[in-house]
Amino acid sequence: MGTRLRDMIRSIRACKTAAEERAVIKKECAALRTAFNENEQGYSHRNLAKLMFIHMLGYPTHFGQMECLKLIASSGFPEKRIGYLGLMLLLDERQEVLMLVTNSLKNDLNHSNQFIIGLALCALGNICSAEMARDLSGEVEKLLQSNNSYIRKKAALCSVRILRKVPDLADNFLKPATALLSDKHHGALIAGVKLCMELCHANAGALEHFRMQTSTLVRTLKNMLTSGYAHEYDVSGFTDPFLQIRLLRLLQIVGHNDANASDIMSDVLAQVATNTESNKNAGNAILYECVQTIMGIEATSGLRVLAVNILGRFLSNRDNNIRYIALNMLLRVVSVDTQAVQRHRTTIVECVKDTDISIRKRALELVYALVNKSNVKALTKELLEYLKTSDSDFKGILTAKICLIVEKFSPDKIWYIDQMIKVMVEAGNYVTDAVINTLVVVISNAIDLQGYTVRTLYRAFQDWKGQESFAQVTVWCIGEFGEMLVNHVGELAAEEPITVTESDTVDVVERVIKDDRVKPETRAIALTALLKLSSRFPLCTARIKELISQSKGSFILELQQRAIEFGSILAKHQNIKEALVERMPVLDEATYVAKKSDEANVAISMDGKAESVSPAATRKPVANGHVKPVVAPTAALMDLLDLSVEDVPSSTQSAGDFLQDLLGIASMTTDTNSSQAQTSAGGADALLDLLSLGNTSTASPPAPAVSASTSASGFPLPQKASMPPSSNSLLDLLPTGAEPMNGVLDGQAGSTGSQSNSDLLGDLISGVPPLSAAKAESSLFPTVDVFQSKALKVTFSFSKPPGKLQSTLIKAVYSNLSSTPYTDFIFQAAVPKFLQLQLEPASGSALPPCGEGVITQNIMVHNNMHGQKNLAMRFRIGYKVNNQDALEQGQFNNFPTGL
Amino acid sequence: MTIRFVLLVNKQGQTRLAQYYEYLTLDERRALEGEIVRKCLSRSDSQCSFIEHRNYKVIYRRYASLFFLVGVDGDENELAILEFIHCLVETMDRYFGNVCELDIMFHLEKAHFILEEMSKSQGYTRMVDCSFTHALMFEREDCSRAMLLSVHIWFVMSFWIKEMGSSTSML
Repeated sequence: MGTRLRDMIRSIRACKTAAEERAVIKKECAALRTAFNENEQGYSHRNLAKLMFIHMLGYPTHFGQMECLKLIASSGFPEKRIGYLGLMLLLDERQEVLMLVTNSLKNDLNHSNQFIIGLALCALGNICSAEMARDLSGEVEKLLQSNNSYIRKKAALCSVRILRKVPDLADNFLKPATALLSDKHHGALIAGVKLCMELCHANAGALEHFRMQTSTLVRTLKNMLTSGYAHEYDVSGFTDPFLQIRLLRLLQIVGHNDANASDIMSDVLAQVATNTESNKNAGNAILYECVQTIMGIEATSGLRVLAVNILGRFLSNRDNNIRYIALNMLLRVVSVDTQAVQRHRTTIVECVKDTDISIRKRALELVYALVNKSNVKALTKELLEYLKTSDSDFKGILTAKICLIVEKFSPDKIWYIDQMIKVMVEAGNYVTDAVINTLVVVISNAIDLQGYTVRTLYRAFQDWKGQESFAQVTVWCIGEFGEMLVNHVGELAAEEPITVTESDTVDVVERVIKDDRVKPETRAIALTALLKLSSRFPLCTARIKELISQSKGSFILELQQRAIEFGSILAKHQNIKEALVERMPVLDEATYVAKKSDEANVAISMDGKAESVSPAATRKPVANGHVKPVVAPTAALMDLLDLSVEDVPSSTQSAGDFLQDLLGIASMTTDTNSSQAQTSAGGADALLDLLSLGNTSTASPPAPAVSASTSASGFPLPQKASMPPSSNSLLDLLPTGAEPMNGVLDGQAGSTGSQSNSDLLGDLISGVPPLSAAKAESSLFPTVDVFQSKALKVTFSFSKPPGKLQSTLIKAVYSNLSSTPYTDFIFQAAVPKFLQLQLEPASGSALPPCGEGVITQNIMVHNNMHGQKNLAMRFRIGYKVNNQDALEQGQFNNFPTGL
Repeated sequence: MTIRFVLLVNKQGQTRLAQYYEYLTLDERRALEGEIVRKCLSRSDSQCSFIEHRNYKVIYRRYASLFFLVGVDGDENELAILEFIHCLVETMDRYFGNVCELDIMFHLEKAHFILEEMSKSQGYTRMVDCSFTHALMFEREDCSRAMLLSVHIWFVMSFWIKEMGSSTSML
């Protein structure tokens, strides 16, 4: 017979460890199983109670489900009651066992005892599935009209669940629900109101119907207000606040967007709003609901004022709960009546500083909703002030909001820049990359403010405490506009003059590069800044060289590479350095905005700088002087680059720069090309060549993906180096480019003693010849064998229709390698969802033997995720050999990348 | 606007009563309970009784060592839920007579019945409080006051007393 319930609980509580507890429960479960199997009579209550306890502790109890069903089917009330309770707790609507209970439920719904009916209704209301709802809705409907209020209430609540599962049944419930609205019994009435609300949600017809009932609802509410004390329904001095709240909510639903209904209820709403005392929680709950209703309906302005005043009172309440409610409500009101909320602005801003995070969050939301052009300065000042003292949990949320506000409402650029600097000083580690990018774009565009910005940053940077974003922006600005620090260009009238020497400026960059707290990306930016400074501050060149060479031994590939490349530029390529380190062209805001919205498509987060650089670099080739907008290929380029980035997921860190570097080439190649062909479309094609070279060359030898990225990112230097001479053909670029790079890579190999880098170079160079071959065939992608057996061969060759990067035209060639002819040849293909496939009719259906003839077929594939996913295809080939059906199936995934 | 779950949790974070009105797997429940309880425990009395967690709004109230948590969706009236919690506690108090954690633990199924009756009426009906609670109440109190009640309530009451009695003896 097992232990008693309390003994089990005691022994579980006595357990010291989780393992011990599991052991006890395992034992108990075993005992329960046996008990269920042996059908022990008389202890089912206890067993089920134990099971519920075990369930509550989070252990599986499915073995008890049948026991519940058994108990439900028994005749006594106590058994049924515990059975139904078990059913509701241990089972859920997803279990198939549930279907078995439908019949018992049906019987119990027709039982003569009201409590048993109640139990069945309650269980149905908790767990019914759509099928059960359909099966039993007839019974429930009947019970809704029962003359027993207890049953009416339960039936109404059960109907709510049925409606949620099967909204189509709404019409059946309309009449009984309306009848419930005039029920004298509060229990049935409140359940009826709930049902009406559900019906209003379910369909618009019902909503119209209940609008007609507005006066009934109003009358009920009025009666409650005037009826005086009723012991049964009294909750701390209020007559059934729960019912009042429900009625108000239903009024809100029917009054929403309906002037007539709103008009009918306005009197009673005013009455509730003025007569309800607000010294108790129950009263406040009613007032709160009343305000919600007034704000939700087409209320008169007088009523609105009343509601807003109540909220004002709430907001100044000392109870945090009430203040929370007020903020919550104001947030909803703000869209209806901004002026009313603006009046409470100071209080709301105070709430942002509350000790309670729930309140702070609400208040911050509200402040955000309140900001406009006229108050943005004052509000931002307040928030920034608070940013200094807020705790770290909240700082992230607050920073994000301030950045949003500043970005959205800044009246002028100088203010924007000032505020952003303040944010970065206070919470630099919480500022996101996207925000930094926007800031950099703005600085780059504000030509007359660049001097001011860099000087302000410099001044603020004196107390730098390791804020990441702050360091990034400062170092970037110094790299770009460092000389403005020294020569006071563009000094504003209000600005305090400072004296900075060249070596002070380099000090800042040095500080960042040597700080342990900053991330590699920031150091990479610092290295670039140093390179740029070297040409602007000739006096410091030696020091800069020294600083750069210190990073040559960095363990981070990206930094090491930059250091070595930059070192080599400083040492060997003085002649081109000037052109290389010129100031970045003005970043185009429009492109940036477009890019930003596009960002979701770019799978990896890129180094902030690279990202903001890329579009502009594409638009305006830097050093070449040919300023020719090559807009058309930009999109194509981005796609291509995304694709190559996708290929090297293991090297995300360097991928950003890889992108930037590649774009460096891209801008140039398109330019050279367009000067030749005068068409920008040609540029895209040439580029395609270039990139497919990169892909195929690394794909053919089994080189790891990372090497692809590094070898590719090795491109820019040689590219840039070979730029000034008139490189007529694109193909010329590569071999010439390989030479200087040799030097670069040698340097690297020397410092690290690793051989792999020269291997990379080998890969790269060996990749060149296939390009020319491919070029000769004027086909971008190699022809591949999709399927080959002794009897059959299928090859695909690919081409891209001009201007449609996402589409690929596949020319399929089928040939018969056996000695028997094939007839009724048919090729079928299936592709994943992101692809669209279009099979054109094949050139024939008979295949002569021994490869003497072929069938060709054109297949158009449209890749919706071009650049992110490769093509893949599953195919089936059917044909007849000597009138016997033959079938070949397979899957092909090795499509050339870039399709 | 519905109640999604009702939880009773003690200060050590152990669940003492749990009812869910939507489907969650056992693991999800455990995780949810753990997260919410940790959040609640870290809050002081002066802070407000509402926290936002995942897509729930949790309204909680502490009675001695026991937290009563109610998870609701979107636009439920928070204050009304607070009042509901109080009603629930009052009801349990009346039934168990100065209810404590152990009462709820050792009479799990009765606590469930009470909660079931009250929360199922989602409108937190007072009627439950009258018929059902009084019935429970008078199991302990003298029956003379019960005579004052209406016939209907008397019927409910006597029925529940009888059944409660018989099931209690079986445990």
